[in-house]
Amino acid sequence: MNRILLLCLLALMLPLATGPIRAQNRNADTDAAWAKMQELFFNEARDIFDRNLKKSKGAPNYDLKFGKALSLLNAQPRTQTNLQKAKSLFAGVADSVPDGELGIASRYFMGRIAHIHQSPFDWAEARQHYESIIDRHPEHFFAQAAVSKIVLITLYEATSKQEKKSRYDQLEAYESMLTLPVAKKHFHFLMGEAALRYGYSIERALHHFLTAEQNHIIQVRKSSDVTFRIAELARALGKRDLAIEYYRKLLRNFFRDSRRQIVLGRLAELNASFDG
Amino acid sequence: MNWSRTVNVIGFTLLGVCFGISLFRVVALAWQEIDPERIFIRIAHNVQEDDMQAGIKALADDYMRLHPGVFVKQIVVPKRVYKSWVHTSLVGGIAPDIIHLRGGVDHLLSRYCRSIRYSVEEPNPYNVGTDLEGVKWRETFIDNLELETAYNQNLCEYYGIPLVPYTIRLYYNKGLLKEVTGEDKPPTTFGEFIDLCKTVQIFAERTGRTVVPVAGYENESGFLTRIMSTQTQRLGFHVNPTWRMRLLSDEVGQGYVEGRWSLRSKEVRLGLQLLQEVGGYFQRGFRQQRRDDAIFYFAQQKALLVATESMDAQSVKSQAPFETGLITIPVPEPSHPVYGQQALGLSTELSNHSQFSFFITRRSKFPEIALDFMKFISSKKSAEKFVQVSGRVSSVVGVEPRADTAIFAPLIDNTYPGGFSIQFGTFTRDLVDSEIYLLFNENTTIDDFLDAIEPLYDEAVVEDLFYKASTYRVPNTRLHDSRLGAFWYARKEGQLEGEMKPEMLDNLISEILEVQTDQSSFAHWSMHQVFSSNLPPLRFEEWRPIVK
Repeated sequence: MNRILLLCLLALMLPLATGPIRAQNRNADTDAAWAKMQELFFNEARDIFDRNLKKSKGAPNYDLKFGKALSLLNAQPRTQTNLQKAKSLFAGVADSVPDGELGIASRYFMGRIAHIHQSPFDWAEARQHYESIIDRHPEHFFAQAAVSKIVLITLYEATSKQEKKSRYDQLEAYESMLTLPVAKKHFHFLMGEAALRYGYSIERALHHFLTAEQNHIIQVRKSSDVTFRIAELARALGKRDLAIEYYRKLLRNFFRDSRRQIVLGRLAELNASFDG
Repeated sequence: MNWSRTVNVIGFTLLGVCFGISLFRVVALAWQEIDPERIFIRIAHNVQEDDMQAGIKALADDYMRLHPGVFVKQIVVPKRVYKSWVHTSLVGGIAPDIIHLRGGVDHLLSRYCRSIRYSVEEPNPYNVGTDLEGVKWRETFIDNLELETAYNQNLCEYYGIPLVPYTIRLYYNKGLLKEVTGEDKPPTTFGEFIDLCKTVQIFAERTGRTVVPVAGYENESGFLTRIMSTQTQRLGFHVNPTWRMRLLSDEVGQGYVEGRWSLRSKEVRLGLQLLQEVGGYFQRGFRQQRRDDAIFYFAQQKALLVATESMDAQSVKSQAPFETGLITIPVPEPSHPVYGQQALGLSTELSNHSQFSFFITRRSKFPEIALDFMKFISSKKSAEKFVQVSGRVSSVVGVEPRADTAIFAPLIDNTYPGGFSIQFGTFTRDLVDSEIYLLFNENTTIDDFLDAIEPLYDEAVVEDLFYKASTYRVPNTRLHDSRLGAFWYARKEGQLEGEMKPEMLDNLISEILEVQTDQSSFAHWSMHQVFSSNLPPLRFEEWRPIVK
């Protein structure tokens, strides 16, 4: 009992203990660096992080290292040396605080370096990083985001047709672990597209696009495309009501869509109308 | 001697007076700009037509009347130097507050232009009292600000405000039409258009006059492309296996690699046949001519018709010393006996980019006023005035065009997605352009043209796919990693800049991931298809995991 109390006390004190560290790393200068990075000024952000890292030598400086590594990913000129530096900074943070927010994020970006930044790509290494955070912190934002990246490197690697189908079926298992709408949306979108590209079940494609659509797609074009696909797939599967619902949704929500005339024709075929 | 001295004195005095006046004007202008009492907004563009400048001036005058402390100055830079002028002034930090851009260039936008993300989601206050009152600013434009002249998909940011939509129409010479056909009745269908072209050729032969049906030029304002793409409208649906019925350029290439279409497809051949037929009515050697040459040809009454873009429409009219009329580009209708089978109908003009979009620069001393001015000029009342003064159609919803230029309004109702072209990227475009003369040469055929491009076409497709994936999609994906990390960190630390609210930040993070997912999916699929196909081996080491 005492032990539990002690643990609770420690847990309560943790934010107090980490507070000063955070405050130590954050100042107007570094806030500006983060803002610069948001606006794609990577070199400027890197210089600020660098300056602050030099000023506070000896401290853990995880935020600064993480920030510098992020800016190095896109600082110009993009060089393999910069990427190696970024990788080593991320690795330092990930090894030091493997279960901390920055540690998990760092592991994700190590995966991203191997996946799409370095040359040549190393998808086996990328998979290791992605899977490690998915295994250890499945609920974390970056673990959930990593699932879509795993879908990409699993389905678009050169393999036989049978192997690809088997991989696709295995990937379906990720559906149950996704809790964040943002991650669900991307996972289902990619799975839906892959089902159509490889000629798998259009029922599964419909399921995936429907789930993606229910998780709030933001970009107007993408949203209208998914709405249209759902209607078309439902029509092909003989799901008349669903098709009509989504054709009408497209006409209502995207009233200047270039497929409007086609949709009106489809509704007429289905003996349905649209009242505007 | 004295006379010579007097002349010198007069000369130097005149020189001195001129120098003094120039100096005074330069200082006065500079003073206006640094006058602390005055808010000075400069708006720059490259449209030299008088009526367009008058349109902007009329709106600027209205704005200044409404806001007496503000002075708006219009700067017009010649087209030929505009691009370099914009780059130089942006990099040099002396760019005007508002500039006209065609959008697109990511680094230019992110580094030198201000995002208007939050403003476009709010109603435009200048629309109060109109039927657009309370409507989000974004939704008051016919294209919803979806296109790259307003919204940059890679950066997930809104930057531009478009004023005039891009459309192509045909001018015709009314007097010549009557002389040739005996009546003032322009063609309304594709069949009538072809008949008219034939009649013009017979007329030229009979009278010995140099008259061709159409004055064409190097890219004919997309005239031929628009006609030709009607033949791939239906095929386009099958080219993309993902049931979107809307094709992006890399999907055309992917479809080719997958064998969903080829240069020998019936639809492509019909498109080329159509191109050959219509191009045959243009003047000889039109591919080597520039737009100005074609307009000059038309103005000299050596051609009955000429294609023109919505922005340059008035310049054709003003150069032609005769009465002109306008028609839409006639394309084969589904009922056409030869070309109708593959056509769905008129292609939508909604996806055409605006030609007159304005962006606020980061160096603007008064970004809030610049933004307010942009809201003002794109309000319904201002748009109506602009239409009346400039004679252009408006990108703002529900603004009635002027009767004489109403034909330039984009075709939206009863239209379909357009087809695709065999030139879908830089490499395929260069290849086709280098041999397309074979289509318009009397002694060569479509097969000669296809024989010439076919051996190199596979490689060009692969290059286009790789180019799009590696220089566009992958770099954008990479770019968003740093950005995603920065926004995630801001969310974690509660760093909310300016008008940013937590839910907005969440949406932005979600949008960045959307773009990444989209771009990655396209790039991975393109490369997967290329490496899985029998197309020429690639040198692209980067994608080794796919090659293995």
